[in-house]
This record gives sequence, C-alpha cells and structure tokens, in this order.
Amino acid sequence: MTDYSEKRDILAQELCGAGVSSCPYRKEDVDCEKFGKCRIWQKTAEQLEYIFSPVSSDVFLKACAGSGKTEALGMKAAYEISRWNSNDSGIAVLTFTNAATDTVRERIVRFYPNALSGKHFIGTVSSFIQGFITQKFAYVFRKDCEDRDRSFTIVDSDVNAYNSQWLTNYHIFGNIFMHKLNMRLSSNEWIYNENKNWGNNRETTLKNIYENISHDLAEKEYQPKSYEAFEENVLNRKDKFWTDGFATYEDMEYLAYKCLSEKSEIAKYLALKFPIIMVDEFQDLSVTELEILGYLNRAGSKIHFIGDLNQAIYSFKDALPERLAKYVEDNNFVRMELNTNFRSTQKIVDVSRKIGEIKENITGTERSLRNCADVIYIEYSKENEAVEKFTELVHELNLKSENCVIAVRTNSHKDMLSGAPKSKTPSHEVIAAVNLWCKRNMENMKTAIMYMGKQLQKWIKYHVQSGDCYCPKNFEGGNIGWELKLRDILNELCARTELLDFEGKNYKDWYGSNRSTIAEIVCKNLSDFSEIPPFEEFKKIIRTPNGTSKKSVEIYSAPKKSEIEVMSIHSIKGKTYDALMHVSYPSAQNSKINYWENWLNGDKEERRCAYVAATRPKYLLCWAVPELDDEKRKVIEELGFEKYT
Amino acid sequence: MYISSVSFKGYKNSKKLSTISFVKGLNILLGENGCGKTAVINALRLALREQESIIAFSADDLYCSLDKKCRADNVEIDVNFSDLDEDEKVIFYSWCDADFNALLHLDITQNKSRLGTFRRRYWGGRMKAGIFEDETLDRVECIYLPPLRDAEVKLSNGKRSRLAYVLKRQFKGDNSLVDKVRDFNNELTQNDGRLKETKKNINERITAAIGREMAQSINLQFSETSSDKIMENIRMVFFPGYGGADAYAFRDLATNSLGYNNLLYIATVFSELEMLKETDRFTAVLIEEPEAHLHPQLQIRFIKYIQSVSESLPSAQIIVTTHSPVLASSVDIDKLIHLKNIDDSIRATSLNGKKFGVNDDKDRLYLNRWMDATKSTMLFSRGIILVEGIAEAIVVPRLAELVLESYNRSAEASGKAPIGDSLEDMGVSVININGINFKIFMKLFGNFDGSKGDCIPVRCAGITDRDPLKANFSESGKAMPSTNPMCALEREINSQPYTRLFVSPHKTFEYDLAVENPSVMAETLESVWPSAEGKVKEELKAISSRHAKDKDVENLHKDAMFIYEHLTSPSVGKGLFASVLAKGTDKTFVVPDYIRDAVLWVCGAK
Repeated sequence: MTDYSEKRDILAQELCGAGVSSCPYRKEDVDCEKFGKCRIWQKTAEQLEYIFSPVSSDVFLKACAGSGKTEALGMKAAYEISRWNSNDSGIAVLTFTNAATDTVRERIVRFYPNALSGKHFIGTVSSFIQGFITQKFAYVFRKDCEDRDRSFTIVDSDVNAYNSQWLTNYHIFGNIFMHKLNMRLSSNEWIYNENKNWGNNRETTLKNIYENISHDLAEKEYQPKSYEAFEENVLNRKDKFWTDGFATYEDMEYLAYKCLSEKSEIAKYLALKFPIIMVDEFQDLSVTELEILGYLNRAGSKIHFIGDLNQAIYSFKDALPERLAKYVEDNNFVRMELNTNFRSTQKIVDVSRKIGEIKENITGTERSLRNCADVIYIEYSKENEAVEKFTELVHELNLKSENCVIAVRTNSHKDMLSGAPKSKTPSHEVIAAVNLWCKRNMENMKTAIMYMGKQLQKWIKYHVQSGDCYCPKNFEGGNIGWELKLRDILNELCARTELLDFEGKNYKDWYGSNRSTIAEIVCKNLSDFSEIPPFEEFKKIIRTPNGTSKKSVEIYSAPKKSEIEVMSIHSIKGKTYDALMHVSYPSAQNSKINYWENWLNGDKEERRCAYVAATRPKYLLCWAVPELDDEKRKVIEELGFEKYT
Repeated sequence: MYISSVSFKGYKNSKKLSTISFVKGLNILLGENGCGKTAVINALRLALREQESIIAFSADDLYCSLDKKCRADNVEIDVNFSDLDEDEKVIFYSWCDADFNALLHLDITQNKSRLGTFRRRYWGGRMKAGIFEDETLDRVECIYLPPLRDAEVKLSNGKRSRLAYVLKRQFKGDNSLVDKVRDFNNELTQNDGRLKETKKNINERITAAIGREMAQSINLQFSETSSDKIMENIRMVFFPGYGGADAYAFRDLATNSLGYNNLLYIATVFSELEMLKETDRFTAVLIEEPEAHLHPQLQIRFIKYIQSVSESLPSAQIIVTTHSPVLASSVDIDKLIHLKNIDDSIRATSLNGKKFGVNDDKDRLYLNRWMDATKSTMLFSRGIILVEGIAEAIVVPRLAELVLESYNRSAEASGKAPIGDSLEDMGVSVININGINFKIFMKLFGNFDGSKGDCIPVRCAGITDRDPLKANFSESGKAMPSTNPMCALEREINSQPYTRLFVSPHKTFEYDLAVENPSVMAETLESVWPSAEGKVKEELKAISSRHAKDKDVENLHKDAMFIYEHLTSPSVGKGLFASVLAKGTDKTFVVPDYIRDAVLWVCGAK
C-alpha cells in the first residue's frame, strides 16, 4: 500500500472514527449509515497532501479545472475543525458563491453537525467583509450619526437614479451620481460606472469626466478651478452619501479597507478571531479584497488560497491575477498543486491547456465517447446554423440537452443568440411582474416573483437579506415566507383586471389609475412587515419612473429559451456540462472580445475566458466560428480542434 | 470587562430612554417603590438571556401610560460593556464598536402574525446589519436571585429551586448521577417483593380492564432519568444543631422556623457565589431585595459578604436592589445608585460620580461615617427635611401636620387638589443631623459650595437657626447677624432645583417658636419643670396667663428669652420638652413662616 492510504486512514479516524481499511462500506460503494457518502477513500494523493498540510503557514493550492478543489477544501476544513481546540477563535472558509458555501458547509456538517453553530465562519467573501468589518465599524465614516443602528443600506450601482428618486439627492455637476462612483484600488482611481455590463462596460475615470465636462461647467458658475478641486467637490458629495447611510457594494469593500487601514485594532482582533482563513476561487479576489486579507494576514491570520489563476476572468471587477500571483510570491506561500482533472477527457484537457497557454501537465480522467471526436469546431455562415448543428449533434450522441450549454463571451451576444429583447431587465418591474404572473407557467411566475420583490425593494428601500426575491433582512418568515407574500400580492394584483389593461395607456395613466390598488394590496399583505409605510405614504411612493410617463405601456414578455441554454462564460464558471459550444461572432468588427481569434491573441483575460469555457465539458468541446480560410483553419486545428462535418 | 451602563425604552415605566450607569464590582440600586429598580434588573436579565428570563416577558411589560392612551409596541435594551481584556475583545468581537467597547442590544417586538407573542432580536456593536454570533451570549453568565418571599419553596425540589441551580453548577454536565439512580432503581424494582406485587396487580388490572391489545404496562420506580431532573428533585433537609451526621435525624424544611429557613437559603446562595471563584468568565450577579425577612445584623453580614465576593472576583459584577436603609448604610456611598421615575423615564444618580468640593476626600469619609441607617432613609424618601437637633426632629412632623391641615383647608375652599395630611403620607422624612453641618448631606441633592456631579432629584430642605453671637443673643428686635456658616450658602443653595435652606428669622428654633406662641410654650415648660414651686414656675405661669400674644416686642423678647433659657437648662432638656410640646400643640399653635414654607416646599405645594 502506498503511504497516502495511511493518510486516508488517519483522516477517516479523525472524521468518522472507523479507518478506511476497516470501513465495511468501502469496497461495495454503498453509503455509510452514519455519514452517507463520506468520500474519504476517494481522496487522491495530492488532495491528501493538501488536507494534511500544516495550518501554521500560508498555502497556495494551485488547483486546475475539475480537480475537486472545493471538495478538498471542504474535507480540509472538516479535518481542521475536528482537531480544533480553541473556544474563542475559529476557521473562516470564504467562497464566492452561495453554492460553493453550501458544498463546503455540507462537507463539514456531515461529520460535525454542530461545528458551524459557533466560532467558525463559512460564507462568501463579501458577507465576511461586510458582516465583520464594514457593517461593524464603518459607522465611523457616518459623521455625526447618533442613531442607535448605524448600518449602511446598500445601493446597487446599476440602479437608475431616476427610478429611485431619492438617489438624485446624491449627485453633483448635473448628473454624476454617487452610487455609480466607486474606488478602483488597483489604480487608486475613482471610476464612474454608467453601466457595468460584463465585457463591454462603459466606465470612465473621474478624471475623464472632468475633462469632458469642464467645457460645460465653464458656462456655469460653479466651475472648479482644477481637477483636484473637482475631485474634492465630488468626494464631499460621496462623503455625504456615506454619512446618510448609503453605500454601493464596492463602497462596502472600500470602506472595510479604510477601516482596517485607519484602525489597526480591527485587523488585530479579527485575525485572533480567525487565525485561519481559507479562500476558495481566490483568483476572483479583487484588489480591495486582497488588500483586506493582506491586513489580516499581516496581523497573524494564516491564509490558504485555493484556485486557479488561469481562470481569473473578473478583471473588470479589479480581480487581477498578476497582483494575486505577486502576493503569493512575495509572502512565500507554500505551493501545492492539484493537477488531475476529474471532469474532462484527456483530449479536452490538452486542447484547453493550449488555449490557456498552461505549462503544467494536467491529467484528464474522463473517458471519451466512442462515436465522436472530443474537440471539434463548426464553421457557420449564420450563427443559428451552428446552434442547430450543435443541437443535432447532442441528440445524436444521446446527451441530455439540459446538460449541455452554448457559451458566449458577452451578455449582448447571449441576448442576440437567444433572441431576447434588448432590455434584459424591465424598468417597470411591477408591470413585468403582473404580466408574467398571469401567464401561469412556472418559469414566468418565478421571474414575476423576482421582479415583484425587486420592485418592492425599490419602493420601500429596505435592507435585503439574500436570495433572488429581495427578501428583506429581519423578515419574519424568512425567504420562503417572503416569496409566499409576493405570491399573494401577485395573485391579488392579477385578480384586478384593470391592472392588466394596457390598451392605449401610457405609463402615467397606468400608474395614476392603479397606484391606490397596488398600495392597498401591498399594505394589506405586508401589514406585519415593520418597514412598510402607511397606505397614504406608500401611495405617494408609487410614481411613474422619470422619463417614461408619456410612453405607452409595453407588455413585457420573458425571453424565449433555446433548447440548449445560452449562457455567458461568467455564469458557467465552476460548472460541469457534457458538451459545450463556444460561439464566436462572425467577425471582429463589432466586438473584439466576441471574436475567436482575439480569444487567442487579445488581452490575456480573453484567453482565460476561453480557457474557462473550454474546461467546462466532460466529453465534447466545440467552437463555432465563421467560415475560415486555410490559414485560420490551420491555427484552430493546431490547437487540436477537428473540423465537424 | 464590566457593564458600564444599561439603557432601555418602551419597557415597564420607561417611555423615554432610561440610562443607568454602573461601576465595577458592587452596585446598590435604591429608591422609593415604583422607581424602576426591578425594571433595571429585568432589563439586564433579558439582555443577558438569564435562564428564567425566557419566560419573563409579556405584553404587560411594555410601557403603557396611566390613561392607557399611549402604549409602546417594542422594547429596546442596550447594554454597554467597558474595559474588555484582550481575550474578551476576540470573544466579543461581534459586540464591539470601533473603540472595542462592547455593546449588546436586544429588540423585543410584537409578533404581529401571532398576537401575544414576542420576537427577540439580539445584535451587537453600532450596526445592526453586521454579524452577531448568538453563541457569544453563552459566554456571559448571569445569576439572578429573586427577592426572597418564601425560602422553603426556593429550597425544596423543583425546576426553579435554588438548590438545583447550585447542584447543576457543581456537576457541570457530569452524568454519573443518572447511572447511580438507575442502579438504585433496578435494585429496588427487582428485589423488593411488595413493589413487585403492587406493580403486578396494577398491570393485571389494566389488562383486565381494556384487554391485551390496547393495554400499556407500568413499572414502579423513581422516574428521574436525566441528570437535571435528578438534581431538581434533591431536597434539602435540616438537623437542628451543628454537625448532624445521621441521615435519619434530618427533618423536612417545612418543620423549620421561617428565620432559619432564610438562613439556609442565604447559605445556599453563598455557596453558589463561592463557585464563581472558579470561573474567569464575566458574571453578572443580580440580587433583588436581599433584606426581605433578614434581621438587621444579618442584612449587614450579607452585604459585607457580597462586598467581599465582589472584591475577590474581578470577573464578577454584582447589582443589588434594596429598600433597606440598614443595607444602604453598610456600604460605601460610591456603590450607591439612586433611582427615581421622572417624566416617564428612570433618572439614575450614581453617588460614585459626586464631587463634594474642596474637601472632597474628607467629606466623602464624613458621609460614609455618618450615613447610618437613620440617615440613609433620605435615599428612599420623596422629600427630605434636614434638621439640626432632636427638638426639631420631634416637633417639625407635628407642625407639618398643622401646616398641611390648614393648606388643605384653603385648597379645598379654592377648589385645588388637596395633598397628604402628614409627612408620612407625603413620603417625606425628617432627618436629624445633630449639628449645623448638614451641608455635606445636602450636596447629594444640589451643587453648591464647589460640589459637582449628578444630584438626586428629590427635594431636600434644610431648617436651620440663625445662631447669632452669644453677645447679641439677649438683644431684641429683628434678624441678628448670623454666625451659622450655612447661611452664607443660602443664596447658592436656593438656586438649585432640589435644595432650599430655611433659616429662622430671629435666633433659634425654640426661641422663634416662643416668640410666636409664648403661652403654649410657657405652659408646656411649666408642666415639665422639675420643682413644684418657685420663681421659675411663677414666671412661667405669668407668661402663659398673659394674653395670647403680647404686642409689645420688648416683652415678647423677654418672655421668649426666659422660656428659651430655662428649657435648655440641664434639668429639663430639649428632647423632653419637645416631646411634650409635640403632643400639646393644637390648631391655635402658630407655626413660624420659615417652617411652614419648608414643609410646603418639600411637599411640592410651593
């Protein structure tokens, strides 16, 4: 027996008390009575090496795609928690999604049902930063606030100020809104996000804005003398935004960073509270988040970074792989590697390595399908052709279409391919919600509930707890209770036919005639909810969003879905599919990043995006590209793609 | 770490925010009934999640105005902790503000979807949206000793028996008792023939009555199967004497005297506190009215013990409420916190923060020395009249009755609301300072002569004499230049909201009374004069037989002087004279203006 089987024994003894060799369930592959699928004996040598790595040092676990890193992380956390003997401090496991949090949590709870009730923290990076830093101490930036509760209300930078009138209080020089202005720490610049769509974000630096509008300002009296004066004016306004208790998600992190840099005690005690911090998918850490962890690291927390810098695709969120690599390098993190990909076939692994320009050897363990090449490309004259061909192929191979995906680089490309209307999210949520609700099918009703929640949050401006439905913090019934309330509200709203009568009406008419009905129904159903304003007041809140009153009411319909779902690369990160087709634009003309050649030659980030897409499928990776000449075909075939005919 | 303050709103009698500050170690809360002492203790119990506080909240605890028009629908309780050590800053991280003081908040709101029930939400620090770890509440201990109403009940078995608390603390989750009881049960049920027989009979009856299909079966045994249950069922028994050892000689507490049961209870409590010495966890000990049923010596003993516990346990903070002047006078005044309900909130005055002026240390010592049980009644009164000697202490309450009677008569006539008939009715105490130096006591109620800090918001009047120089004493006429140092402070004292000085217009208390009432005074003195005959008696008779009041100032002065000089002679004594005078006064007795003013002001009628 190899020496890692011994390690598995130690691990099993620590976690379940049995020991792998004595475990009766091991050979039969049945679930253990006590712990179900414990997965202890499936741990590989490299995973075990990490699980037994010392927690007294900083560790960088470089984990390739499909290497089961979250699983290894969960087991590591369970193992450390089992040996934990401090009552006052704990382990923090930070992830980027609730799904990953659940996986890690499930791993730990399987062995220690009570482990998570106390000192340990398993949750997302942002809930950690907000819960333990910003929403604890950043009240110091709310000057002169004497309220008993000085929490921040979080405002999404995406919100259109004209739909939430109160936000227009926080503007300066015409229409520079404070909730769209965020600090980018990597370049130490204030960035204005007019629209932070993935891929083609329209963002400008404050300096740019100054240069653009100084003409206009020159005509007005309040022209600032210099950029510095301009910036000071703007930041005073931002201060006011904070002082009044508002902050964007980005602000929340920036304020946490400011807390740590101004009050060293915070990092000191937080590091004592969490002497070990493990971060899953660490390549997604923004520079601000990295700085925050850096403070804790210097204050004594040992940090484990688990992830893959080759899959860093959030540079627009200021997650910069070079910075992360440098941090790990400079601070002498112990390096460990997981180089076995349990997801894909060797062929897919090899091609994706070339796409991602990865030097390390990675082993793919999945077996290929018999009747098809693993990696192919389809040439199309129209994009829809490629979608049709791919769908047929999926059928031929007997793969389930729900396990397959069509991947695109940007949301606009996604909308194009899936035939969705231009504005993905409606600006009149309540209208969209009643529209979708009366269609009475699951998918639409789900979306309707979400929009109704979003609308109520917009109107009432409560703190959001979690989930898609904008459930308020402190809502008595929790997420489910909230959804039930929304259901009741929608049912009652749809029972009033006048709400669904859009014929010849403009928005002003619609809101004008339905304002009381909506207010009445909402107030009645949410009478238990303490933040609901009284009827008369609420009626006043329900206003026609600015700039739309004269327009006629548009009926909102949910986007149609193609048989195989079209998804952006950012939303399939971390997921597994049987087959994936990555679709390129016909040319580079309209959008560089949507065109395949730029996936290989453009910005490094584009390569990483292509790599993320390429590492999702188990059996079939497909690129859909426009018709190619021989030279270009050569490029694509050199990567290992075979032409599909 | 210690609780530096608690604030609450919407709870009991606090419509507005009430804030009470505490010191490290021992704190004594005192004040008249209904001032909110229990509210303070219960707010702390709720916030610190003391065991029994779970059941200790109902709709009646929400603030409700007397006319029931205004009701609170939620309660906010905030507890501030200061002086956290390094470990505590980590443990209570989620309670901390940016200066690493801890703040614990409890919001109790009505559960609107299930009326009559309440939701409790705990949060820490300054921001509700931050993370609060519920488990951290378990890192604070809270021991609550309710007022002792019935020692026997508290010592007998049951869930809330004090004895069970002590035992549980002692056993700390050790379950060995369960095994022992099980063994004993087995032994009993298997070996005792009569038990077996009884059990068999019952089981047969069950089967006979309802048949095998539906039947249940029973066993006869001690039913306690959990450690907690066993401990709750252990009873205290007693042996009347020291060192009883034979288990059969012990008797049930029901046969013991009330007094001794109280002692046994106190001893049990002490043994519980003794166990605190082993913990380094912050512990709040909340004790309500420990004096109930304890005679004064035991009260003193009790509070001294508590004080020694608080001194030897840096991690414990003890908060005691009391009605007992004995208890209040037995501890340092620094530990005292006076509570009063004013304008729908509790006004707390911590004597710890008081600065007495130039001679702060000396004055503090003086106060600690002279704050005896009699004088500490001033801390429980609704109004205080400080007097210089025994005569005033005896006569003033009687004069007050006359004043109040006449006030109420004219109030009635003019349609105003009448007030109480006597100082007792009004909750006003007359306190004899035995000397003119009542300045230091008065500084508790007002700031003058360099004193600083919070003042007890209770009206405190000082009645004092002008005390002219002996040389000037025999002179007749109007006000004499005073030698009483208090008089120099008169203006400053009177500028304070809760202090007033009332000075005799002429010379001294008895003299001033005699000027107003020569006949009554002379008669009274004559009745107590030791010799049956003689010049003095004759002169007194002469004075009393003169008309009610001689208009001639010279004569009046002479007579008053004569009465004053003779009643202070060693053969009579002010005390005896005063007692007889107090009995003999009637409606015709003329109360000097300065005394009437003092009485009416203290009673709030002026």
